[in-house]
Amino acid sequence: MRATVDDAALPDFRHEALLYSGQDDFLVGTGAFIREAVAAEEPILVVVSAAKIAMLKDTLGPDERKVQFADMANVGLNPARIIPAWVDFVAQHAGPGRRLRGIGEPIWSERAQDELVECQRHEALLNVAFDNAADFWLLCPYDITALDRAVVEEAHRSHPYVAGASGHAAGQPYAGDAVADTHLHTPLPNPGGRPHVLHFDEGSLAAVRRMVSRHAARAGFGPERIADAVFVVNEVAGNSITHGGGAGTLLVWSDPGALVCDVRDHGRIGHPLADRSRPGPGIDGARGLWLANQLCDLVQLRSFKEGSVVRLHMRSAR
Amino acid sequence: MEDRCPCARPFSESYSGCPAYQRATFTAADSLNRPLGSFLTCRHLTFGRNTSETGGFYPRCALGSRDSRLRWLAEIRPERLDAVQAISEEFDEFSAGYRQQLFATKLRAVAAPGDMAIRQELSAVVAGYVAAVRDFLESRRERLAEVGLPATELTSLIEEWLVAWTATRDMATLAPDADRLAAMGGPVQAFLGGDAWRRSVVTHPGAVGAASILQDDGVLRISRGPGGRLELAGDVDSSTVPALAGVLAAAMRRGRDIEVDMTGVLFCDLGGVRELLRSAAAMPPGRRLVIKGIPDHLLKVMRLAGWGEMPALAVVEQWETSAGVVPASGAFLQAPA
Repeated sequence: MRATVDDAALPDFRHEALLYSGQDDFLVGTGAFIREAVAAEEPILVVVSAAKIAMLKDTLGPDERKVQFADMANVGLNPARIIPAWVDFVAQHAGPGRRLRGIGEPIWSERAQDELVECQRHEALLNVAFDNAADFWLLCPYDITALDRAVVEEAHRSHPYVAGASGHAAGQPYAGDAVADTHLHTPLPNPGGRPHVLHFDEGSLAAVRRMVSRHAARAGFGPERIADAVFVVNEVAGNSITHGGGAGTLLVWSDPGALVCDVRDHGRIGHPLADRSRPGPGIDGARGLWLANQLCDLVQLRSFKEGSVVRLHMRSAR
Repeated sequence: MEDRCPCARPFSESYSGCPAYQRATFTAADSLNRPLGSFLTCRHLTFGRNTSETGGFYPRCALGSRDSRLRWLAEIRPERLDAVQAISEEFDEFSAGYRQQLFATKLRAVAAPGDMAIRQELSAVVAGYVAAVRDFLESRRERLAEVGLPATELTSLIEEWLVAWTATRDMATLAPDADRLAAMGGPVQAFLGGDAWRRSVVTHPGAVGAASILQDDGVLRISRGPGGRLELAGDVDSSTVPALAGVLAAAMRRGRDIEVDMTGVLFCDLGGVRELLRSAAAMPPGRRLVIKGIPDHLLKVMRLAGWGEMPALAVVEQWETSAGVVPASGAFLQAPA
């Protein structure tokens, strides 16, 4: 049974896809959602493209002052940074009997394939992250006129609620939290070109750093970006030594405009939200993967029976 | 010999044994100035004369001892050196064909001193090369600026240098004017292979102190400098963090502020930062951990890692002097404006 927007009994966290057809339909669907929030004095944060923010502000008129906006290009170019932003919003505004609303559009047709896959993983992880959250209604717009059919089908699998686009094929049913696991266990594509390979262990982190530094420089990175790359790969490789069986393998290659590094080891990634939980204020506690997501343009975690891989994508300019 | 080059030679294409290694190609020539082929070498590799023993020569590192190499690297920063090196390698690759043509044309010009046609041909080759150099550098203007290389000045310098070279009968590469180079700054010297930069760093005043070495495993050296300050040189990583923790714990027992000089740190991982923060957190009331020379990159990482201000932690630009107290920046972890 598929629920509709009008259901009276709402769960704590309502993760809903809004299937829309083009720009006007987007404004109608999201505009109504925002006006409802404003009328009920519910805090609302809208994270979409700068162009859509401008159009929404036009449509909303004076109501726009009661809405928080953020540019998805800033918040979610790396989709792993989106959940922490929602967590912050909820922590800031949640209160007894208060419903919060959000609109987040992480997926658009120009997303590169690697980014798209991670956006889909992000959508699935939202169900895990906000499992016990406050009363929070998150609407995720999908442009069915611009996106591949498979992308829309995946939206059905990762969203317990689907609204809009009357008559659109329902596709796959909602698949629950298991979707996040499926993504974690789906192999990554093979490296493009021929990667440079280095096996490392406790004694060879310096060689790991030298290799990353040189290849980052050859990919046209400036000093600051080289330092970012060296720092992140050193931390992730250090994790392999501490938690991944004492050794690992580094693969480095170039994609157009980017440096890509795989750190592979025999460990397992246990917690699906390991890389997007904001570190606590204490000195101890893991921060390597968190920092990887803050410093890299895309981080892909995958875990298998025989081991795991962390794929780090870095562009020369940020 | 303290300044004996420790590298295994000949250098391989992927040599990474010495962090100060700067790849350069050396073109050997026969007695008639005909090129014999190219070899990989290091910009810092020179010959030293062994005066005490046989009087022979030894491979000498122009940077000096390991200590001097570390200081040189700390001043340039390894990531900047690699960025300059990458641009330099692209330049070598781009210019190889031009240089070959220049060399061959000049050889003919030198062999026929009165031949105006060849002289004109040489001028045309130089002009074509200079135009290509300008395009090469202009198209990389932003990248060059990031490492401190001014594209326009660099083009003029290379042009003047080439024109001067074509005017001589000498086939060897002329050295650019040392004073001019020095005025253009370190990155230009590193890019063009001059040695004035490293001279200026190696003889940096105050670089050598009567420090006692507390620990040195070839990766990280920790020494006690003036006033009991801890001076770090090299890499702080998972292999050296335990030693740093031990030294900090011992310093804690001395019952004073702990001063740590990170000017010589080439790399510091999260575990290293964590160890410093632990020490600051463990400081008794009224005492501080004062850090000088922390790389900017680490401050950014600390901010992103969510480590906020700590009352017992101070980051300073310079040590307090008799002339006045340098204020500690307690707000170093605030988000940048």
